[in-house]
Order: sequence, then C-alpha cells, then structure tokens
Amino acid sequence: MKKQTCSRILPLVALLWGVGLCACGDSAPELQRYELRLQGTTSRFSTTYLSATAVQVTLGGAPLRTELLPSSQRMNVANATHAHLVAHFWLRPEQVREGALEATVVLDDFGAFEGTDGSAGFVDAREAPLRLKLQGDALERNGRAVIHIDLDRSIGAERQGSRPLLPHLRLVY
Amino acid sequence: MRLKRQWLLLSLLVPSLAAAHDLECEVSINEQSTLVVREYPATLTFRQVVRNIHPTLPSTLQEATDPLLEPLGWSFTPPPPVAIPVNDSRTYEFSVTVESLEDCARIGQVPPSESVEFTDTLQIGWDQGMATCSARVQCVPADTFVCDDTLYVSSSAGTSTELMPLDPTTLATTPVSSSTGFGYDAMGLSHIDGYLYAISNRNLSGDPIPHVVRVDRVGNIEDLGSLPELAGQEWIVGTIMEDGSYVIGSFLGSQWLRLNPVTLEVLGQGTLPTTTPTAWAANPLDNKIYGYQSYLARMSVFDPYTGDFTVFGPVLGNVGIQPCSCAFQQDGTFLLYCYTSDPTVDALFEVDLVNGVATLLGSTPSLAAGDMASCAFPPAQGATPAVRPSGYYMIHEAALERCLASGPVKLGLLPAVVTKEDALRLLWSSPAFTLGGEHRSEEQAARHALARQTLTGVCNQRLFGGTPELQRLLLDTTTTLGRTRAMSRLERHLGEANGRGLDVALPFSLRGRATPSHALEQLQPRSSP
Repeated sequence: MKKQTCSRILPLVALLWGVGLCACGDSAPELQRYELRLQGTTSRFSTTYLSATAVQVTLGGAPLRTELLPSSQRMNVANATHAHLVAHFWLRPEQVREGALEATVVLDDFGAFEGTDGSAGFVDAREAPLRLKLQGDALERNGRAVIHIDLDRSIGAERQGSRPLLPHLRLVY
Repeated sequence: MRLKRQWLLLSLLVPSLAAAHDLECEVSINEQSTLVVREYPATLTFRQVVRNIHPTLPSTLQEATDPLLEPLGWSFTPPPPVAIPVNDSRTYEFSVTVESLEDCARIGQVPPSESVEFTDTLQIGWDQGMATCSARVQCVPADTFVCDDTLYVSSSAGTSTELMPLDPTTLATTPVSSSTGFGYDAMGLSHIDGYLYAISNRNLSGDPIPHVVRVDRVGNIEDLGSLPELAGQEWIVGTIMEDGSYVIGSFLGSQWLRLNPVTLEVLGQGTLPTTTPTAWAANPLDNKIYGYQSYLARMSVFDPYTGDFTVFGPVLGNVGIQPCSCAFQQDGTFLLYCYTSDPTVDALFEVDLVNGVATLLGSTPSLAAGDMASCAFPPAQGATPAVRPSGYYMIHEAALERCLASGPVKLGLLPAVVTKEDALRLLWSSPAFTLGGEHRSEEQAARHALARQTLTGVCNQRLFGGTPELQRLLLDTTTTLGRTRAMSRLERHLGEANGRGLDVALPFSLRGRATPSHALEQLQPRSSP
C-alpha cells in the first residue's frame, strides 16, 4: 500500500521539481492543496465582475501544479462578504520556506462595473495581471491566501464608458 | 476558568500581533493615476508613497519592488528595511524622459503600436503582508501627417533620407525631417493612420534584407521589420490603396507586393509583365495604380487586386525616358516629378489621364533619387472612427440587438451568433472555461477568443462603419480556421483594431445605457459557446 502511494507520487514529484529521487520510506512527502482567493472592497461600486483566465504559482521561480477553477469566472468582487475561490495549488508544507512563493493571476480582457451613483461601464483589465508574493508560513498556517483588491483605488478614471483596472492589492491569509 | 482566561488573552493578542505592521502604498505619475502623453519629449515623474496605516505602532517596510522601473535605475529610497512611524509615510520620486511613442513602448516593455499603454506597479512587503498599487501611462502619437493635398518628396543617398513638402506652384521644398540611419524609398502616405510607410533598402541595421519603416510628421522613424518576400530586390515604388494596404514594386525583378503595413501580412504578390514603373500612385477616383513606364515614356495602370496591368496613352515626349515619381491630389489630379536631360534640374508635370497629355508645371534644382507621396484618399472622418472593444458589447444589449438585426454573425467552425443571448454567452465566457464550467483546450481557447473578437469586429462594422483595417482582418478570420498560433495572432490584431477608437466618442444616437447585471442575467448555461 505504501509502495503504491509512493509510485503514484514519484512521477508527479519528479515532474514538478525536476528531482529524480524520491524518499520512498515512511516519510513519503504529501503534496498539500492550498487556495488562492480574490475578494474586493469598495464603497463606490455596487457590482464589479471580473474573470480569471490563467494562474501561475511558482516556488523559487519553478512552476507549481496549479488549477484555475470555474468559480474564478464572472466573480462579483464588489461583494465584500465573499472571497472567490480562484485556484488551487499544491506543494509540500515544508517547502513553503524553501524559496520565494509568487503568484500571478491573469484576468480576462474585460469586466464590468456598476457604480453606487448609477453609472455603469466595462473594466479594461488587459494590462493588469495580479502579481503577488506569498508569505510561506502564513500560507502554511491558514491553507490559503486571499487577494484583497481595493476597487475604489483600482478602478481608474472613466474613459468613454470604460475604466482601466490599476490593481491595488493586499494579501491576507 | 483559568484556561478560558488564557484563551481570551491569546485571542486579544493574536490579531494585534498579526497586524503589528501595516502599510499601504500609492503611485501617481505627474500627479495622476492615468497619464496620457501627447507631446514628446515628456518627463514622467513617478511618485510613490508608502504609508503606515497601523493606528498605534511603527511599521517596517521590508521590501519594495517595481519591475517596470528597476531596469531604468529605480531603487526605492530610502532603501528598505525602513521603519515608518505612526501617521507617517515615505515618498520616493523617480523621473523618466520619454522621447517618443516608440520610446514609451520601450519604457513600458510593451510592443510598439499607435497607442501604447502600460501599467506601473509598486509592490511593497512587510512582516506578514504585502500590497501593490498601480498607475497607468498611455502614449499617443505625437505627430501624424495631416491628410491633405500636401506633396511630399524624399531625397535619399545611401542610408540618409530627407523628407520635404514640395509646393506644386513654386516648386519650393522645405525639409521637415531627415534620417541618417535609413535610406528609404517606395513611400506611401496612409490616410488610415496618418503615417508615411516606406521601404528602407539600405540602412544601418546590418540586415541585408530591406525593412519596412514608418515615418511620422516630425521624422521619427519606426523600423517595422522585414519580410522574406522583400529579400533580394530594391523596392522603388510604393503607394497606399483605399483600404490602407501598401503596394510596392521592385526595380530589377519587376515584382510587386501588397502588404498590410501594420501587421506586415502579405496580402498579394506577383510579377509585372514589363519593367516596373519608376513612379506609381493609387488614384483616389478608381483605386487603381497609375505609373510612369520610364523606358517606354508612357503611362500604365495596374490593379493589385486582379493583377491586371496595361500600358496606355501616347509617348510623353516632353517627359522623356527619365526616372520619375508621382502622386495624386484628392481630386484625381496626377502629378509627375521627373529628372530631365539636364542633371541639375528636375521637372514637375501634370498628366491628363484621359487624353494622355503631360503639361510642364515648372522645374527646380535636382534632388537626389527620391520618391513622392501624398494622402490621396480622404481620411476616414478626418480621424479614427469610433469602434469599441468586446467589453462594450458585454454590457450594451441594445447595441447587440441592433448589430444582429442585420443578420447572424458567422464564426467559422463555431456556431453562428443569431440572438442577443448567443452573443452575451460568447462575450461573457472566458477563453479558460465554457459557461458550463468545462475547461477549454488551448485550441478551443484560441478559437473562442478569436470568435469573441470577430463578433466584436462585425458589430463595430455594422454599427459604426468600422475601419478598412477591421474589414481586412475580418476577411482573414474566414480563412483562418486551423492553427492555434495563427488564430492567436489574428485575435491579437483584431483586438487592437477593435480597441483603436476607444477614445472617440460615439454618435449620440448610438449611446445607450450599460446594464452589466441585466446582461449577466441573460446567460443561460444550456449550451457551451
């Protein structure tokens, strides 16, 4: 049984880390799943819809296994009570301190907003991937990182019915 | 009881420990969050503020990074780690000079285009936290040519070229710009974007293949790159057609190419049945190229869409066997500028295309081998026509209804868009997932993204008249079905074309209310567009 687990993990570990060795003993490393979420805060917008199209998480520059989730589509990030689940990513808990953990979330070209003043338009997110540095120990403790986007500062000046996304972010765990 | 007290103590302690440092940042460029640069050179001052927002404790900035500005010599000053007292902040200013639109693209690390946009992002880190803040720069062309009847002539020797307007009445020339790095010829002045396109047969890049260059009104030259089809020939004639395509002809091989000057796609090519005219220009009245066959001293007409080529009219004895260049005025007047038997003198003629008579307008001291160009076709509304990117159609249901009222939009291998709901399902689903939440493969994603841009482009044409560039790209979508890379490239070009008129206001009759939430309610994930 143990052997089977190891043989299943072995190719994955080798693939992810370029490491050809696996400690096939009692301490076979288990990958743990972590969450990346997105949550907005705003007093100016009643709705703000954004979708993600790609996500990458790297450890010391090497890509980790990540999975963008359907819940990352058409997220109303103006709803401050919900942290949308954008992606899962996997690593061994002890790895969180082995190198810089960085995440990039690419948003779909356009989103949309409705202002509390009755205005509405589309959000131009073409130039605005969300880039983040994760704190390994906080991530390990909480199992997730939540991107807080300050929409009041991130949604720029109106230009013929559109507003550019200028990400103002913070990470909480 | 004691345990409970400990827990209480701990729960009070933990939040305050977790938030022992708390910082926020702010970036502005020339005191704006979005700066539009229209004049060059321009100084951009990036002002970055890191503020301690902890109510009672100092916060230590551990790290500050700015990937955009770092290559330009930026490093946050004072360098982290730096303790910031309560209610205090640290401000750092960094200035960059933008010399031109091209330089703006270099600084922004984005591909050069007619409207360069980039975002500067400051990322700050502290114990147990990070934040980012951003500001945007948009650079627009400094000086495109005004599309009127001005005649431009070039004087080129080796890798140098001077460009000057020629007054057809006085034959006076006034240098407007000069280049020492590009010897260019085969000029065409585009009424679509106001740039002069030319072929640099000789330049300092060290590349033996000729390059396509783009010249603006103040002489900035952008090297658009080369094409294998340009190799081995000297390109001496060029003109812009009504649809904005650029047709060039080579001297020895009598070859011709029709290019999209923006994407450098080859739209047509062939070999002329006789020597290449030394002068050619597209006639705004019939969109055909009229040229002067120097060895025959006769006129020719060439249709680059059919390949038909005809020599016509009498021998022009007063022009003679001389190299010439030519240009049309917007009313169809054909002007021919030629060498004469006197090597110190050039002559300007008007040629009547009906009876084939050349009338001498005057003569002037000779210029070095050159070309002539004018903006023969009237500019589309004098400026970029209004178009809108797909984001507009996501939230304007009335615009979609109007667009689809004139029929379904065909999307190659994907089902045609017939109803507003079809359109909304396509526009609101991303290349990553179907509306039903299924992952798209790389090929499906490329096809979806292209379909979205195609719908947007067709609606731009139907509602706002579109642009010739858009028309050309939409034609290409009907033939680009297969390869993922080709679809992605076309999708990018279409996306640019669909976004090019964003700063132009819509006609009043087409302004409608945006209704994002209502549009979203129309999505029913029963099919997977």
